[in-house]
Amino acid sequence: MLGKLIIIQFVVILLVFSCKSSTRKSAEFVFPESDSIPISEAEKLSDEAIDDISRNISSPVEISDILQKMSVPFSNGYLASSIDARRQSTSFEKALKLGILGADLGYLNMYEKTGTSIDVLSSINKFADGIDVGQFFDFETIKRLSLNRTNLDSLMLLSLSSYNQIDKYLRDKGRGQLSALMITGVWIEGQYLATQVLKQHPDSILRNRVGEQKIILNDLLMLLAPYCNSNSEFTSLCRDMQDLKEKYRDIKITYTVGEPIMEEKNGSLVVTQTEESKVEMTDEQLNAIIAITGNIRNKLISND
Amino acid sequence: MKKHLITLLLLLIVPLLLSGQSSDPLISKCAMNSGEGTTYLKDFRVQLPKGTTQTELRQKQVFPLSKNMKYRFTLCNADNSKGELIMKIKDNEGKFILSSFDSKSGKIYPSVDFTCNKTGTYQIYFDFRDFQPGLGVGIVSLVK
Repeated sequence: MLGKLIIIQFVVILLVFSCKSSTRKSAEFVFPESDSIPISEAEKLSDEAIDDISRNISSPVEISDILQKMSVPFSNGYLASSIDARRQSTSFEKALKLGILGADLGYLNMYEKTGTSIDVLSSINKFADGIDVGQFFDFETIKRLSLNRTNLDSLMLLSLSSYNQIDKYLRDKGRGQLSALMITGVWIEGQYLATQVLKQHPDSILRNRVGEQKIILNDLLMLLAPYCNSNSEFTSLCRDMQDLKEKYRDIKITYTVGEPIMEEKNGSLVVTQTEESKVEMTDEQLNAIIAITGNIRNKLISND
Repeated sequence: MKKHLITLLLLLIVPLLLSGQSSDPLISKCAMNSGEGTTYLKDFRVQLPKGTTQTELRQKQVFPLSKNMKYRFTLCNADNSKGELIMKIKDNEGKFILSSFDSKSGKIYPSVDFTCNKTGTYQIYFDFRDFQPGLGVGIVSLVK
């Protein structure tokens, strides 16, 4: 009888302590990366859940805006000039390179180097046709606007909205894997541009921008995850992106709390966010990100 | 003779200018109304029937916004839209950030400028005032 009582007491104590420890764990600060879904789980994500993952086609435009504010001169050296659209390639390569060149087009347009973007446009047109989405890319009109350099707003609208339409069409038609590749291509080229500029032009805003990509990378990996085991090309890309994620692991992003300030100006609402995100990243961490980003991007644009 | 020449020139030029727009005229018109010094980033087309039992805005989209960037949200209604497009933004944790509709005064702002200081994925909700049926478009632009 006494023996049974001791066992019951032991089990109760064990339960109480195990509950306490789990409570403490859930109260810990949850870092954006910690709540990411493992690949095995993400493969089970429903279409609706995947639709809820953000897709940013415009990030290279935002990066180019930062570069212009930093007075960084335009450089052809940042472009993926080695991409040859005449080469035989798989749908995987075409979609990825469509994204990479889309980022380059955004950079060229933001710097008003529209006359020199014709080669990029021709390649985009070939890759878009190659995955049967050429109908959304009005090559002749974009080319005319680029050559005329008269209506930059229309050019930006038409270029970016073409990519947005391609993304939507691919998802609607159940070709989400190509959409995920295109978005990845846009992101990696934008990341390459930002990191390469940082090597020569150190700047705190651009540096923070690179650090904050930890949040966006998390979304991107979730977007890719359902396809990681679909073929060897995807497996290799996912492995590279996981390696990049590893380099971001110890970068800290913290938040300070605040309420948005709202005011009316000339009939419009103007809102300033006082809540702030802050990035803690060492030079070593940044250098590791610069190196791995360059390796992944150069591998993706190589013709081997 | 001069008048005919001008008309002929207009007939030739106008289609060329119009063809340099997005394929959806509502999106093109709205993007061009975003104002000078802005760059189009994304459009959200909103078409909804009349709502009956809703309390929350019905169309949800997600979009990443970055620190140190100023964004402009421009809201436009189709000519035949019964409802007026409204928008609300929450952050990734569901915290309210802004609304284009002031429920106290009943005022709808057709344009909202947002200076972002926290990088993340934001939830953008759209609907039509009083859950009326309607067709409209929301444009996100970068203010340079």
